[in-house]
Amino acid sequence: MTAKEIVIISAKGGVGKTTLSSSLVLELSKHISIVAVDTDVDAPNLGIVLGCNAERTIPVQASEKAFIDFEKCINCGLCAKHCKEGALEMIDGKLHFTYYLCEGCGVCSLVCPVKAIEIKRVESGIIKIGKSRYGFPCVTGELYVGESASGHIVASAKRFAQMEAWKHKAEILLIDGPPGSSCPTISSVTGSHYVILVTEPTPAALSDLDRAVGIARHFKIPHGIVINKSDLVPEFRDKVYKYAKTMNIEILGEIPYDKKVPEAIANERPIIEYAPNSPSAIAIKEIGLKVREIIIHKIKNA
Amino acid sequence: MTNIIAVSGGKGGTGKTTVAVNLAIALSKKKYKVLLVDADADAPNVHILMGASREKIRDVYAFLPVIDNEKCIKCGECAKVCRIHALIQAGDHYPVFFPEICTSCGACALVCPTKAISDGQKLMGWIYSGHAYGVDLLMGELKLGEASAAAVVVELKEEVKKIMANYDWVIIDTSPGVHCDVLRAIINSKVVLAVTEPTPFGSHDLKRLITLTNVVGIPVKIIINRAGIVADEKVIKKVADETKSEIIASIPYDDFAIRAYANGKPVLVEYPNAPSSVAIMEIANIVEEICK
Repeated sequence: MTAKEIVIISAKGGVGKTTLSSSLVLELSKHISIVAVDTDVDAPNLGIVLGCNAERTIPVQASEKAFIDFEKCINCGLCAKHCKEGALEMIDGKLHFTYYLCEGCGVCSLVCPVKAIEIKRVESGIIKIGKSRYGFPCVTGELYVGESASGHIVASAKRFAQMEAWKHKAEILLIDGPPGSSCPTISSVTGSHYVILVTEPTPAALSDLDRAVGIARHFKIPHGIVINKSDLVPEFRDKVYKYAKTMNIEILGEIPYDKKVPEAIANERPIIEYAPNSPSAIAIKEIGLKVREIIIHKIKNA
Repeated sequence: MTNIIAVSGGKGGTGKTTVAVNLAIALSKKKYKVLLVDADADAPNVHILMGASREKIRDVYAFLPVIDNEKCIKCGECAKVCRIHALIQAGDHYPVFFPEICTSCGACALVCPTKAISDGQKLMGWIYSGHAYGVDLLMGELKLGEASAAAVVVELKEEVKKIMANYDWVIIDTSPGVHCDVLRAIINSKVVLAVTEPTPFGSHDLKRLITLTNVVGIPVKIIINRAGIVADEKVIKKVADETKSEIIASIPYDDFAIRAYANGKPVLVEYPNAPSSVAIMEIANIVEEICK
């Protein structure tokens, strides 16, 4: 039996994914066996708040890169002409290679008349496996800076998290996802059982929420909305409700704007631990109740 | 000479787009010709913050192999060069194609001995133009459900190359993160303005961004946004010291900025005397000085 996956995403960054997921996983861990997973591989921050150690680190070779033998290269420029990523360029008659733009497709090595280019597999990220300071396991995927294989790192992190879940008999993976709506988001959502869409009541966040909903619908994953900083702009709070109603999406809860939240982040603690009676902590605990209901009624039988 | 400046930061939601939009307006107020580029193709927000309408200037396509079975001789060469195995060929069968993992590299078409593979042109997204508050806009958007924004960002940068001579300043708003599409967006810029927030998240992700900019040798100038939300900013100062990057400005946490943001209006337009507007005008002066 694999653990069921709940993923927290938002197309817009900085709306509170990690604030919600760090407290939500801590709250849920009091009732069920759970693994915390960070698949925001570009900016993995969940482990900072949960105090996760890395008992094991596993490098992942998820991408390939071109390696150029400049001794053999005759600067003919054919490879640069065929490079779709812009990694190979001719500058003043000389071949110039930007390693980090290369996606290892191998077209350059195919067209090179002197066989000066070899494609090799390289490490593109690392998976950290350990425990949070609260005892439950955590798994973090981290993309090396400038790399392109974010989707593969996400998939690996989820695979290792499933293994941890099996070892610890955990029923749920709570996954703190990335912003945006491209590769790492798609990879985080793929195969999951429920998606929590975090938003805030502003025009940009509402536009991005629509993209995140599009991703959840594309993969046919059940989903609900959490409005963070919900009292920030009252008119837009109403607009989020209107949007949710039109799209027939459940609002799982609202978290009011709370100055305790940045303080909790500064102290690297989940808000429900740092200020358990603050308005935002109480709101997140209520969302926790809702999520437990969803786990029992919707996810377990899925 | 056109100055190209990228606005990035590592962490999401630190205020990259807010800074990019208002800085562009600030520079245009100083009588410069400014082009603002939205390279955050999978969450494009420049037009929303500008309250601007977008006009599509072109579709962005990527290579999509289409196999003509009449010409295919089932030699398997295409599958052999497809490094991610989007094409598979076995025995006496025609190649099987898995479009969702294809990265549009075109190797298959290149090696096919009978020219049985042609370009079916997969739509990846769109490039838009617009104009607001004296600033010209160029914006990319990734088609929903597509995994890679690379084609859109590459096309966007090509368009910038074509028209940049008309401008004194090109401001490029990037996506969050430290992946190759952020690199694609910042490459060739004179300086990267790293917008961050004074939290452990902000500092952690800022450090990763500076590692990325070091790779391509572009200097970073740090802007602390929402200064004052926590007692001190030493987490950012530490990164600045470690990486020898300068903190050029702090934008205070400002209710006017939030109100303007919610109304889809830049704070500099809606509340020109608000604390954050004053800070942005000062940033424009500093940026002018840096690029002199």
